[in-house]
Amino acid sequence: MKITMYPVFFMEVKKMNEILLKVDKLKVYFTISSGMFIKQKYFLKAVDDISFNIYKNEIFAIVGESGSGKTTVAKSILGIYKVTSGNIFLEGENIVNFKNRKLLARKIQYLYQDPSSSLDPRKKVLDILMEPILVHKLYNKVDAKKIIENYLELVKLPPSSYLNKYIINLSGGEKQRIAIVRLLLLKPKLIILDEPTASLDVSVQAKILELLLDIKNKYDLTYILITHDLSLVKNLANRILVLYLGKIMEIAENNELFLNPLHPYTIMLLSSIPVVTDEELKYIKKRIETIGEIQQLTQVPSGCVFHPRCPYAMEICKNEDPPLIKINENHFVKCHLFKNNF
Amino acid sequence: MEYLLSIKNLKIYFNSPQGILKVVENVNIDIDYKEVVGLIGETGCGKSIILKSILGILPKTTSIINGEIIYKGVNLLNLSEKDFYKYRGIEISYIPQHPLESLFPVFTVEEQFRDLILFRNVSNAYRKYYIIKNNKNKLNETYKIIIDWLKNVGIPNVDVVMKQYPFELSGGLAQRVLIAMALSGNPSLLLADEPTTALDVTIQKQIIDLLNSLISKYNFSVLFVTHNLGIARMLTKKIYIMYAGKIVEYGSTDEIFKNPLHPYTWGLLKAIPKLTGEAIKSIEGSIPNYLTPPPGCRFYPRCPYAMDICKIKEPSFIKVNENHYVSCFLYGGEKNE
Amino acid sequence: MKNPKNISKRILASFGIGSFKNIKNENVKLEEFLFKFKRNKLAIVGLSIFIILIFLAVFANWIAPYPQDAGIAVHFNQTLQPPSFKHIFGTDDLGRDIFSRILFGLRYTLIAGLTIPIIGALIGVTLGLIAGYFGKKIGTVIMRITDVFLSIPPLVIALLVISVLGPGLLNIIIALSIDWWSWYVRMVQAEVLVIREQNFVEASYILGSSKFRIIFSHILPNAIFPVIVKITLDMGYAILNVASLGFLGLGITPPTPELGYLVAEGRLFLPNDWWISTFPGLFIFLAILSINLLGDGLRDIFDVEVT
Repeated sequence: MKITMYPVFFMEVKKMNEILLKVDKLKVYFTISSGMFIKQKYFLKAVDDISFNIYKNEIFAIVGESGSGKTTVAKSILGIYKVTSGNIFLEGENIVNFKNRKLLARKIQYLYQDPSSSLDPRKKVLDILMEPILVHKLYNKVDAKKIIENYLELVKLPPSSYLNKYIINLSGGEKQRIAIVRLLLLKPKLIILDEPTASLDVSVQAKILELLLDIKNKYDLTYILITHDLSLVKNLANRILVLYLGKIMEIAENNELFLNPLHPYTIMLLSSIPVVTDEELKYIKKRIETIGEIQQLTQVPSGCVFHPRCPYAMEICKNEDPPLIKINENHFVKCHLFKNNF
Repeated sequence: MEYLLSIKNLKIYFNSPQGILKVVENVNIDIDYKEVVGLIGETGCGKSIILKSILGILPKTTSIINGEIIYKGVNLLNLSEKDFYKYRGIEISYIPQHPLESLFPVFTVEEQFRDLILFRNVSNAYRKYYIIKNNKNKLNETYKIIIDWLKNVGIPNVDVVMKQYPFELSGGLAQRVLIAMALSGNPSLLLADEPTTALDVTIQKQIIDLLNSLISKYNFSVLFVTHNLGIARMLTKKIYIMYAGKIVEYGSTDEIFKNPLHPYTWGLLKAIPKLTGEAIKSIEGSIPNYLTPPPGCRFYPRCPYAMDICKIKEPSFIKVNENHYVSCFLYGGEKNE
Repeated sequence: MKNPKNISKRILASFGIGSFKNIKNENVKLEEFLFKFKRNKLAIVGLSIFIILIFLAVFANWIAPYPQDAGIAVHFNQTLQPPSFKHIFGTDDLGRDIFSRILFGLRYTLIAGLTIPIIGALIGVTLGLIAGYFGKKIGTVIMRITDVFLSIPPLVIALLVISVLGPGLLNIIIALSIDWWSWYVRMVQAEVLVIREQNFVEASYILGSSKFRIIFSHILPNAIFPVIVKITLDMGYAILNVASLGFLGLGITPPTPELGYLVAEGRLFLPNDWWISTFPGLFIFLAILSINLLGDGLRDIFDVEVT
C-alpha cells in the first residue's frame, strides 16, 4: 500500500515558469432577440471582463456555483463559444475565435464531467481511441494499436479485455479513464478538467485524481480545474479563481486563499463545505451564513453582482461594480469592503 | 423495545438474463422514533434498492425479496398494493435524488401539490375527482396548507413559486418543494435518497440546515441515504455503512467518526479530499460482480488487511461497545465454531 | 488485409447492430439478444412467414407448377376452375394457374416493398442529416421542400410520375420513392437536432474531427435507430401502395402478375369465383403482416439495446 504525497508548489510555480495561457479582459455575451416584429436584443453576460494568467505546469482552479460561468470560460478558451471581446494568448499566440480546429486540438483539450455523455455509447473503446489518431493522422495502424495499448495499461485498464468492450458496458470510473486516454493521445499542453470527479463515487474519485496527478507529472501538463468542491481545490490547486455570475470575485494563491479568504462569496463557499473531520473545521477561518441562490443570467443584479446575498452589502454595492483590488502579489479581490485599506 | 422501522435479514435478489444478482444480502437496520439514520455506501451497493423495498416499489416480476421490514409492528413486505396506500406519503415519505426530474413537468407547483393533498388517501379517486376538485371549501383549505408548507421549507416568494412550472425552478427550489410535498402528509418516517447529490455545495448546506430544523420541529425519523460522509456527519445520529449489499459497520455517528474500524470505512475516509490538504488515497479494486460475489467477506478482494479466513467465511458482527458494531475478522469472530 | 466481411461487420457494429450478432468476446450481448428474441414470439412468427415468402419468390421458377402462366398464356379449356389438386388456388378467366401467378407476382411485390423504403431512407436520411446538422438557411430550405412533399399524398405523386414515365416496375419504384423520402427527413432532422447537442459530439469537435466525420461517425449511428424501425414498417406500406397502384391498373403492364393487379382482375368475378381475388389478397396480407411483426420485434430488441 503506497502512500503518495503530492506537494503543491506555490510561489515557485509563478517565478520559475512562463505564462502558458493569458486571458485578457474576456467577455462572452450571448445575444437574445425577443419580440415578434421589433426584435429587441439583449445580452446575457455569461463572462464579463475576466483576466487571469496560467503558468506552465500549475493547476489553476476556477470555482463557483453552477451558473457562475466557469464552463463558459473554459469553452470560450476552446473556441466553442464566440468571444465577444478580449484576447486569449496561448504561448504568446492569440487564439481568440481561432479557425484552425485541428491545431488547437493538439494544444488544449477538455475532460467532461460526465463520461457517460462525453463518449459515444454505441462505440467500442478501440473506435473511440482511434478517432483522434485517425483525425490527426498521428500513427500508422500498427503503431497506433501499440500506443493505445500502452496508454490503456497506464490507466490500469488491461487492453486485452477492454479494447473490444462497448462503452455502454463500462462503469463511470472506467469511462472517465478512457476519456482521459483519448485526450492524452493528442499530447496537449493544457487540459481543462470540468468537474472531473463530480459524477463519480468517492473511491473512484480518488483513483481518477491520482491518475490525473500521475499523468500531469509524466507528460508535463498544465491543468485548469473547474469545480465547486473547495476541499478538492485545497488539495490540488496552486491558484484559485472565484467566479460569480461571470465576474471575478477573488483570485489568490492556494494557501493565501484558505488562510485569509476575503470576499464574502468565498467565505460563503467555505462555510458550506460538509467536513468529515473536526480537524478540518480549524481550516475554515471565517464563516458566514449560506443564504440565497445564484440568479439567472437574465436577472443579473446591478452594481456588485453578489450584493443580494452578501451580509456585508453597503449602499455603494448596489450601484457600483467594485474594482479589482490588489491585496498582495498573490491575492486580488473585487469588493468594496477593501477599497480603502490597500 | 419496539423500533419505528426494523429491517430484519433483508435479502433482495434480481433475475437477469445472465443469472441471479444477489444485490442485498442479510441487511439489518433499526430506526427508532425521532431518529435520523444515515445509510452510507457507494453506487451499486444496494442502498437505493433498500429504500424502494421499504416503499414496496421494486418490480415484482424480477425481484426476489426475503426477510422482514417491520414498520410500527406491521411487516410491509406482506402488504398488498391496496394496503400500501395507507403508508406511502402518509406514514412513510420519500424525497428523491434528482428534484427537477421528479416533478410533473406539465403542472404548476400549486396544481401538483393540491392534487397530492386532495387525493392522497382517497380510494376510487377517479370517481370522486370532479366532486372533490370543485369543493370550494376544501380547495381553500388546501391552498392554505400549501402556502404554509412552502413557507415552512424556506421558499422566499411563495406566491410566485406556486404558479411556476418545474422547468422554471432551480434545483434547490425544486428540492424544497419536494420536501414540502413529502412532509405534508405528516409522516413518521422520511426516506431520503441522496437528495443533495445533484445540488451545488451552498444549496446543499441550505437543504441540510432546512432538514435539521424541520426534524426538530416535526419530530419525524429519517433514513438518509448518501455516499457523502461529510453530509452524513452533519445530519445523522446513527449511521450504517454498506458495501456490496452488506452492512459492514454501524453505530452512532460520533462513535464511528471518532473511531472508524472497518477497513472499508478507513478507505472511504482516506479517499475524501480534506481541507487539511492531506493526500488522498483510493481503494484498490472495484465493487464485486453481483452474479458471483466473493464467498467470504465481500470486501476481501480490496482489503489491505485481508487474512486467509476472510476469503472463506463471512464475518459476523462484533460489538465494540453499546454504540458501535463492526463486521470484520480483524476484531474477532474467527475463533467461533 | 481488409476482409470485406469484416468491413460490413464494422459498419453494422458502428450502427450498434453487429453488437449482438457475432462478436465472440461479447457473449453477454449474444445471450441477451437470444433472451429477448425468445420472449418475442410474434417476431419469430413474422420472421418465419417472411422467410417463406422470400423463398417462394426466389424459387418461383422451380416451385410454380405452371410457370408459363405467369406470362402470356391462355388456356380456354380450364378457365375459372375452383381450387383443386391440379390448381391449388384455382384458375382465372384465361385459364392461368393462380398459384403460379402469385409466386411470380410476389417477386414484384417484395422487390418493390423492400427497395422503396430503402431508397427513400437513403435520400431522406442524407437530407435530414444535412438539414439537422447545418441548420439555418440550408436547413430551412430542405425542410420547407420536405413540407411540400409531405402535404401531398404519395399515391397522387406516384400517379403523376407514372403518367409521365409510363408503366413498369422500375417506374413504380421511382414514383413511390419520390415522395417516400420526405418522412425520413423529418424524423432524422429531429433526432439530429437532439444528438447535435450531446457532449460526445462536442467532444469530437474539440478533438478536431471534421464535420463529415462527426456526422457520419457519431450522429448517424445514433440517429439511425428510429429510421431502421421505420424502414421495416414502411415495407408493409410500400407493398400496400404498390398493390394499390396495381389494383388501379397503373404502373403494371398486363400480363405481369403483380399481386394488386391480380386482385383487380378478380374483382369482376366476385363473389362466385372468389379465389381469383382472395388468394392474391391473402398473400399481400401475409407479406405486410410478417414484415410488421418482424419490425415490432426488432424494435423491442433495439430499444433495450439503446438503453
